[in-house]
Amino acid sequence: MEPGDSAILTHLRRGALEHCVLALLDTEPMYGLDIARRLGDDGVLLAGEGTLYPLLSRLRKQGLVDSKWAESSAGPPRRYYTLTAQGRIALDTFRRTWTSFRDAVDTTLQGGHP
Amino acid sequence: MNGSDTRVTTYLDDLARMLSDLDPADRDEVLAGVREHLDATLAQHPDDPAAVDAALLRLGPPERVAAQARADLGTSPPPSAVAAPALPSPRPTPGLARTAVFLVMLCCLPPALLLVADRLTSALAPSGGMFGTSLVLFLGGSVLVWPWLAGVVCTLRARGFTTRTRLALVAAGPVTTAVVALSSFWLSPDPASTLVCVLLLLLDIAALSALAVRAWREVGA
Repeated sequence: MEPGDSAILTHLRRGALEHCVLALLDTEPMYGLDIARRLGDDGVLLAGEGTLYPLLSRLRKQGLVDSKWAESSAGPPRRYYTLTAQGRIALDTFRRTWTSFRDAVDTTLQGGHP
Repeated sequence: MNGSDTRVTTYLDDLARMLSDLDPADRDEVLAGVREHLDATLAQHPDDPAAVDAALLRLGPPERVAAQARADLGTSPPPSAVAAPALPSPRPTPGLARTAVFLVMLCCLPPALLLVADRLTSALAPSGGMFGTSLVLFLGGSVLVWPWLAGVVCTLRARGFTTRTRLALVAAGPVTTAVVALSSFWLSPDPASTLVCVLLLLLDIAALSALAVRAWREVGA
């Protein structure tokens, strides 16, 4: 990644990253650590795994995800996250709009008309 | 305590400090998540300094986590920024106000009207009527002073009057008393003085009536 990339990425992540989190939880409930691992450590989607936790808090406060404690024999209880019905609606809306948005941007960048 | 525990503690302490302007519940939740993340990562590699370094590197600098937290969760406003509740504006008291108008007029209008009537009749048919009327007025005045006082108290305590109206209502009593006194004791029955007295009284009555109407409407409920 080049130096100027991080500023742009911050802007691009806004709005898209949270829906990626929702998409992961659509398949199965997950621990925070697993979400962080799945989003990759190449710094594209997540600028450091730590930034996931403020996002998860916000999603929970907005009612898009739910979190529960899972007892673990191996150690202290761990928080796992699930998608709520509202979260599923938000995800579906994003899925509908993202494809046309992405295609329009791609076409424009390649010099064509969206 | 080995070195890797210290590094973890330092990281978490730094992060906690950087999150200090957040809502306490939000701060606790973010810290708990990060702590849990580290615990889960390091559980697989206990006491491995290299693993700690790698985990903290992947977590990213605490400044970035704090910046994300501020963007996602916002800061709680400082206590001084919480606006003090606005003082409730005094609600008008139409009932009390109209009672005030009624009492003031009750004490001012009858004496003035009575005296006008008396002046006119005695001017038309001179007899000993004036003296008797003055006595009645004097006695009546000493009775009417009580409801008048009550009217003044109501005027001062009622809300909804403009200052001008309030002052006028309070002044109505003394002014009318002065006019009535002047007319009562200015006993010479010659047409000129009768005319002046009657005019003064009529002016006073007109002013009282106008004041009553205006005050009544001012506090219209």
